[in-house]
Amino acid sequence: MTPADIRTAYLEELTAVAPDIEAADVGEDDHIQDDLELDSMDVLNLVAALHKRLGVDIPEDDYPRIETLAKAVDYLAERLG
Amino acid sequence: MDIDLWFWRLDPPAPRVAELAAHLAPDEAARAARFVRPEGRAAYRTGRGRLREILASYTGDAPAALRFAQNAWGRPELPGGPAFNLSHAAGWAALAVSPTPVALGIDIEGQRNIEPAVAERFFSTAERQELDRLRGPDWAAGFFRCWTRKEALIKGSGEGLSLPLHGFDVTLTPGAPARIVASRIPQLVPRNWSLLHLDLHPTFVGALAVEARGTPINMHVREGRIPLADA
Repeated sequence: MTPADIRTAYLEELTAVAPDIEAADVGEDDHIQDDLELDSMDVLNLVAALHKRLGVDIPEDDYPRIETLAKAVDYLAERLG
Repeated sequence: MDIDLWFWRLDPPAPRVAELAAHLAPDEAARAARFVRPEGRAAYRTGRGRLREILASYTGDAPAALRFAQNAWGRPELPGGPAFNLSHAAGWAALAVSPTPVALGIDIEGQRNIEPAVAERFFSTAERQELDRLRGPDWAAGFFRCWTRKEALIKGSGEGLSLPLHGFDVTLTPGAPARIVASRIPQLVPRNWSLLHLDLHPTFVGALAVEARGTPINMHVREGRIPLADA
C-alpha cells in the first residue's frame, strides 16, 4: 500500500466518522481534535475503523501519532511496512 | 446536595456569538481561531463564553475576569469559585455546577453509528456481557448509557482518560438505575459516587457523576428544558 493509498483510506475513514468535515478542508497538520472538532468517541471510532480497514491495531500510546493527516500517513506506512 | 444543570445551544445568532466571544481570555480566543470550520469556531466561543457568564453569576465577577486553572490532568477549575464540569455534543453544551466543593463530572452524547470494536476495546468484561444481551436500538442505547456514565465518572475523578476505562463496571441496560457496579481502581470507590442518568432526548443521553458520599442529589435545571428540543 502506497502513502497515497494510506492517505485516501485515512481521509475516507476520518470523514465517515465526522461527516461535517470535507476531505478537501483537511490540512496536513490539522489536529483531529483541536482543529477538526473530533471528540474522544470520534477518535476511538476512527481507531476502530482504521483497524478494520487496514488491519493495523493502534495502541492507546500511539494515538498522538494519528492526530494529523501527515503524522498518520507516516505512522500507518511504518506499521504496514 | 444541590447540583445546578445548565443546557444551551452552541449555534446562537452571530451577534450573540460576538457578545460571548468578548468574554474570552487570549488563550481561549486563540484556541477558538484554530478550528477549521466556522461552525466549530462559533461553537467554541459560545461554549466558553456562556460558561464564563454562568460561573460569573455564582462568583459575582465579570465573565472576562474569571481566571481558570487546570488540575494535574488538565481539567479546568475555577479557584475560589464553584465546582463545575462542562460537556458538549450535538450542538448543545451541558454544565453541572455545585456551589459547595465536590468532585463532579458530566457527559452528554448524541447517538451516532458506533464501531462495535469500540465497546470491545474500552468496556469492561462485565459491561460487554451486559451489552451483548441487547439488540438493535437497545444496543445503541446501552452503549451510550455505558459510555456517558464512564466519561462522567472519569471526568468527575479529575483524572480523565488516564484512568483505565475497563477498570470499573457501570450499569447500562435501558431502564436499570445508573450506578457503579464494581471498581478495581482506588480512585473510584463505588459507595462514594452517585450516578444519574440524564434522559435528554430520544437520541441524546447524558450522565452526571457526583462524589456525594451518600448525600442525596437534588438536580435543578437552571437553563434549558428536558427533553432538549431539536437535539
